[in-house]
Amino acid sequence: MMNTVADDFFKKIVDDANTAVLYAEPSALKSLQVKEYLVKYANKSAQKFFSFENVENHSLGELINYDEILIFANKVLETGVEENFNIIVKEEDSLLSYNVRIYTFEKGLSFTLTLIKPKFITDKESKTPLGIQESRRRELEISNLFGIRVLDSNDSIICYLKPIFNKKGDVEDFRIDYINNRMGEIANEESTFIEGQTILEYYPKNAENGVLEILADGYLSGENKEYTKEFIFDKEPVWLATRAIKMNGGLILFSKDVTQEKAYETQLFIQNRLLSEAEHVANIGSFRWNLAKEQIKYSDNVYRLFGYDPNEFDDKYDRLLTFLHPNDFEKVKSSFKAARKNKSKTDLVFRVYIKSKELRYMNTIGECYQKEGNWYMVGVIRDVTKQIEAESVLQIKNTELKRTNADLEAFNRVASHDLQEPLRKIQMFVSRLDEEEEGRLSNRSQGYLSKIKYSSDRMRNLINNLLSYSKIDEVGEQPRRVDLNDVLNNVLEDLGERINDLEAEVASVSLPVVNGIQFQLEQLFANLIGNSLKYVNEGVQPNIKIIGNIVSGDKSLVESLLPNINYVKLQFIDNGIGFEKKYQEKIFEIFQRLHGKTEFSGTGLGLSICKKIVQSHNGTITAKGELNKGAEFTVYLPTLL
Amino acid sequence: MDKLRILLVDDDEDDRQFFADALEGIELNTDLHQLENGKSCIEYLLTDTDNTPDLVFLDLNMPIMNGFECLEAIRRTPHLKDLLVAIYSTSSAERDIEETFEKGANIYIKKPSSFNELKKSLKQVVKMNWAYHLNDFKKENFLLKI
Repeated sequence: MMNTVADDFFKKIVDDANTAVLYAEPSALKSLQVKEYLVKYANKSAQKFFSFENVENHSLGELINYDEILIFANKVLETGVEENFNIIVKEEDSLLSYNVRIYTFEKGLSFTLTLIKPKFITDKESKTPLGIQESRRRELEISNLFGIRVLDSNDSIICYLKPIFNKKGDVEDFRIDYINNRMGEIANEESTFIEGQTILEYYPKNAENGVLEILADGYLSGENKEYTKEFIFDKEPVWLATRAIKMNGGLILFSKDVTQEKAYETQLFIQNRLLSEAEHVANIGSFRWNLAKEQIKYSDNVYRLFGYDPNEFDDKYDRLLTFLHPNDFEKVKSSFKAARKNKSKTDLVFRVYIKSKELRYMNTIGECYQKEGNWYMVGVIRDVTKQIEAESVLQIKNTELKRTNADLEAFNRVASHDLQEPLRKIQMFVSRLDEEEEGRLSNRSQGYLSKIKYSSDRMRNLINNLLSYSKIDEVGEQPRRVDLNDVLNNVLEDLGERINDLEAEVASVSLPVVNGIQFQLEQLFANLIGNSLKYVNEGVQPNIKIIGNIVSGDKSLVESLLPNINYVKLQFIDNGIGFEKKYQEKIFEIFQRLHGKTEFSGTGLGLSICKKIVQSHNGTITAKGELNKGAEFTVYLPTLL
Repeated sequence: MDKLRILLVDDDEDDRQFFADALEGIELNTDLHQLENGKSCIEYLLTDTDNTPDLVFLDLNMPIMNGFECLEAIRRTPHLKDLLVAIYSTSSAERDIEETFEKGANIYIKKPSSFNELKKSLKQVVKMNWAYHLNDFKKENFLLKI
């Protein structure tokens, strides 16, 4: 072609034209849609446009990456109708618009690409007045700039990808033709650095994380694709939610940075899990009820409280009512009715039959609030069966305790009056007999009389001790500041005669002050020191030591001591007959006697009284003994608060 | 010197006997009248106003009308409000002692368990200079516990 002079002339014109002119013929099919075109002719402008010295016999696909050109070329080839459209080409820093014309010519297609820029538009070439052309040019420049601005200022990452096919015709990668500067901010890289790379070059993991696969599928099927994936571009992981749309033979991708949302989502997920766990552990369920509707939204644990799996029963309000114990039906219904009507708080305990037909007590607390014009009730449901049962057990125990207290009072009355009365008479008659028959009784009878006296004295002691034992708990006197030195002195004075008789040695240090009831503490000291004077080794001088100091509560000392509290530690140490280690707990039990009555006098109540006094002072008493070596009693009393 | 008129109100026959014997034993010029409960005591004091005793010994635990009720009735009666009343009871309960003093008892004697002690107590009460003590009444001085 073009071998005549005229042809050469035209060729020259065409060659020198500012418009890129190209002639190509279709060759083998590349794929079903895209045909391959071999370039048969290209003028100088075309060579410049495609940056090729000699474009002839190159395939068109090698030269240009504008799929729309190929697509339109196919269309023109099929229909024979001329196509005229614009493309935007990026050249260095500016975007240039080209007008593309494709029409059938001979066995192939003719392409013309005209830059829509004023320097290529002269008056000769266009009948359009210069002013209008200028304004169009500006409009275009502005719209291009505007386009870039819009894209760059967009919150999303926007990029345009072109598929790269392998020999089999599969999409094996995408080239990044354009990416806005939003990506640069995230990846800390210039978008110009990214542009021109393929997505696998730029981010190789796209082959593994499924992105390439999704995009290839989107490109080939033409369907829109959406995915959210994690990427690590710089340091921190970034979550991108992407929407890919096929456009002009490529894919346009809108990606949004959802890292924050993802974090919130994770947090929300964890919190929901925690709430669910907490409900499970606390045996609590929660609900949310749009009061205008019949449905109630329950948490999973509500279903579990009723013995069901989550969502197993109907969420209608009426269904809830069917669980109720018949006697509680009206109460619950009217309470909810009132709450719905008045938007009031509700706090109810009611009985329900759960799935297993067991009766359970439930407590529900609900509050109403308004949101976007709707009234809601939110609340909790918890299973209070155990508490209610415990309460009723407590009530029974209280009744029992009251009865025990009444019994104790009756006992006190009996002991203080009814038992004393006949005893007093026995003693009275004995004393009269003794007086009237003085010197007239046989020695034996006098002995009997002495025995009666001794026994009735013992009985009186016993009754008095029992009385004081039962009275320790009586709330009478308020605890006061008691100086234990006074207590000890009073007791030693009372016991003075016996101490002198036994020539006992009593040693003590200065004792602290406690919060307590003086007469009880005196009884405690009297009983303990009295025991030391009673249970003595024959032929050994009794030696009694009383030591007092302040210690801090420590479980290693005695189990029942509380930490963080200071105690007065009192030790009563003697060198008497002591006791075997196995008795050290037992000796505090009521009526526990380690010795025969004739050996040592005593009622078996003394140490029980001691223990009770110490306990009523919130203290502890322990005993340590060694047979025939001595005994040691240790008392811990809380110090003044 | 006139005989000291003493009224003993006690439902226990043995106790009344001990009392009478002890009173006799202290060899003082006394005239003892004995009654078995509070009701008969009140009736006696209201009807035989010429023979109002100088001193009443009142047991607490008695049938029909107990000592507390009897004491209240005595103090409610105008001409008996200054009558000397000694409580004579087995009870040593602080509560009972308090209550009787609140209700107007002048003295409290716990029934002793030996005859000698009973005699000692009665002697002390009977020989007391009441005119002097009544002007300087202190519970502590009139609480005789044995």
